[in-house]
Amino acid sequence: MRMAALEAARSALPEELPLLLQQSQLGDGRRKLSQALVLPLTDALGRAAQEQRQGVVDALFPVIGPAIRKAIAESLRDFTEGFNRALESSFTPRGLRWRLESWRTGIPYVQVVLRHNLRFRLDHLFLIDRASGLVLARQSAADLPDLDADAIAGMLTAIGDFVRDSVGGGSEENTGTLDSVSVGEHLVWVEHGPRASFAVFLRGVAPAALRLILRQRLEQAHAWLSDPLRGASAGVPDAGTDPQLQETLGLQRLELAAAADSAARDGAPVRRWPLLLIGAVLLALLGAWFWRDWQWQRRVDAVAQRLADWPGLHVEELSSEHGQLLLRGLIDADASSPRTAMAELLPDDVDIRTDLRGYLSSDDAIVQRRAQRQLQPPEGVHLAVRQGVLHLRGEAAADVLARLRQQAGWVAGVARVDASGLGESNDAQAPLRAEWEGLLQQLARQHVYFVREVELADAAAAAALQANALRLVELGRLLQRPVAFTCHGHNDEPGTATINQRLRESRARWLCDRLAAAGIDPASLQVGRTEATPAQPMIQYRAASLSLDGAHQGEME
Amino acid sequence: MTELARKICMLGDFGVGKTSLVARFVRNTFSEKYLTTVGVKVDSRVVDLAGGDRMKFVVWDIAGKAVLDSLNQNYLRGASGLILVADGTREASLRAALNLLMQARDVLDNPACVLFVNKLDLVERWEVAPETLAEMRHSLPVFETSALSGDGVEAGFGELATRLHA
Repeated sequence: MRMAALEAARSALPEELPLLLQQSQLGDGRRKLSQALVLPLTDALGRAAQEQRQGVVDALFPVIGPAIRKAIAESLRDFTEGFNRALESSFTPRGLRWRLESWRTGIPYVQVVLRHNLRFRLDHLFLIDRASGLVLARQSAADLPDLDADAIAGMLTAIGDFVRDSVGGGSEENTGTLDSVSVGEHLVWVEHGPRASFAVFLRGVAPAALRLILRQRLEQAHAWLSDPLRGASAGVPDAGTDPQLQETLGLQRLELAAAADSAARDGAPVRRWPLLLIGAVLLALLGAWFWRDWQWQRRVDAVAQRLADWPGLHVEELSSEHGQLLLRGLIDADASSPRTAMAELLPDDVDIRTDLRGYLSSDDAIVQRRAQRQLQPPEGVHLAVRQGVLHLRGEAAADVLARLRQQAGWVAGVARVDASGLGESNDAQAPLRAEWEGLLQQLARQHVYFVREVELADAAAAAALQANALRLVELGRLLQRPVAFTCHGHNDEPGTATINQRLRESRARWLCDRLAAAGIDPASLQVGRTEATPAQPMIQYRAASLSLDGAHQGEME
Repeated sequence: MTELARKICMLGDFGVGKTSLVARFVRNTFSEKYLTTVGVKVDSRVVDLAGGDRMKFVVWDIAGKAVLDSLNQNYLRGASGLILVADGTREASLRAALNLLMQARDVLDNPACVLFVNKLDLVERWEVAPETLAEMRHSLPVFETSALSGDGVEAGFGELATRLHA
């Protein structure tokens, strides 16, 4: 019988179990049942996760999906906000300063921008009963005007419901909630909990850390609300005055905690040495630039000073750039080129360019140089130009003195000639030089004419030519001048070129032979060119002539 | 002296004068445009109670509708009291108010209720018979109010405060 009763009870147990479970939750039984089921349920969940993984995933999917979406949406919103701020500030002076700071500290630019924008202030913090929208407790900054917290909390709750109903479809499974509202610099963050929500009114841009801290504080507030000793609920008066809750809600503590957390995240030590190094390098570069510029300017000034005193040079422009110097102006033909002097004062790699046009300088030094070139004064005669006056002094032969006196006034730039310092020298060779000159002039006009071939037409002319040649040899010996003659043959127009050339050669040789026979050293005699050229036509007359080699040089001497 | 806060919802058909009654009673923090956008406007008023206590009414003026939709039911959550408003010149609005009360009781657990029959200043055009009101007074407090003159408004809110404080 007893076994039968047990069998019956066992078979009825599946049907009665739900009822028994309900009954066991009455009174204190629910707590005991919960305690009893904690361990088996945990083990069962563990085994299910291992053995029925897909089933667990399917069951949790409606919960995990919205949670993941919410986390992604929050991250994207934070990123977009940071990106927008970074973009807005990219090309402003402040943005450039932040870029420098980012480069200096190694912190990404977006984080630097965010850190600078994390200056925020908490205005109000409401702990709102989630069901009724009533304010359970609140904290406001001291210097703000009073506001109707209950009305605001109510509207915020209503708008939250409205948003959830409009956007999320209002289903309980859908966790869409109003998390933040922003108007200008004012921002309302709502942090939701099972029983109550935090609504924090702030200005500026709060760090992401504040969200985390708000969640922690909301958990503390829930712990306070769940305390059975307090039994807090909407409208319970001590919720707003409880010191523990007020400490949880303290605005300043929240601000400090958020700032400290934010600073801890960005806690990379500030590296100042790169900035100092850059500053030092920039200073050195600036100093080097100034030093180089100063040196260059100093050299250019020295060149300008040198050119200002340069005889025969008129400087119109001296322009300089580093590595190049341009001189533009006028220069006298007798002036020295200033290029070498300029090169001596400048570095080797400087490109010196000149654009100089000719002119007649009246500088005393240039006029003196010009007079020296034109007058060719003999040794013993000195020139000097002072204030446009050409001073001549020294001794020279009478003919030289006459020439100097005659030509001195022709020199450009000479206003007056002072020849009072000139004196005639006692020169014994002067008559000989004069005779020499006279004979040369005669010789140029003398010809020996022939009737035909080398048959003399005028023996007297030939004798006169021979006498002059012999006298020139004599004068050359006395004046210590080398004497060498060239004999030339001429012919008239008729005859072929071959015959005429032979005639010219035979007449020139005839003259040389006659002079050699007269006692002139044959070595100093030579037959001149016999070819007729357009420049020197020799078909004029039947004659022979004589020329003194180097006669021009002799004149010059 | 302590101050208790209570959420009060005003329900009634469109055009019965809820918003005007609230304006008589509370300080207006928000614009009425919320009624046409969000569908609710929240204001508050502190009421002095006997014994020195004070009670803060947080009044949710819900946009006039004959039937509560899901959003309006959400707005009712956590309410301690209801003010039903009917227009004395439209008997249908009284039926709508009672219908709304029935719906609200599905959401709320035994809320304190008062009925405002508004537009007392137009009493000569009332469709609602005095007998009907007398009958209703057996089940809930009824106040004949005028948002225009303010008659009955303070008394009605005072009665609700007393019932909530009890």
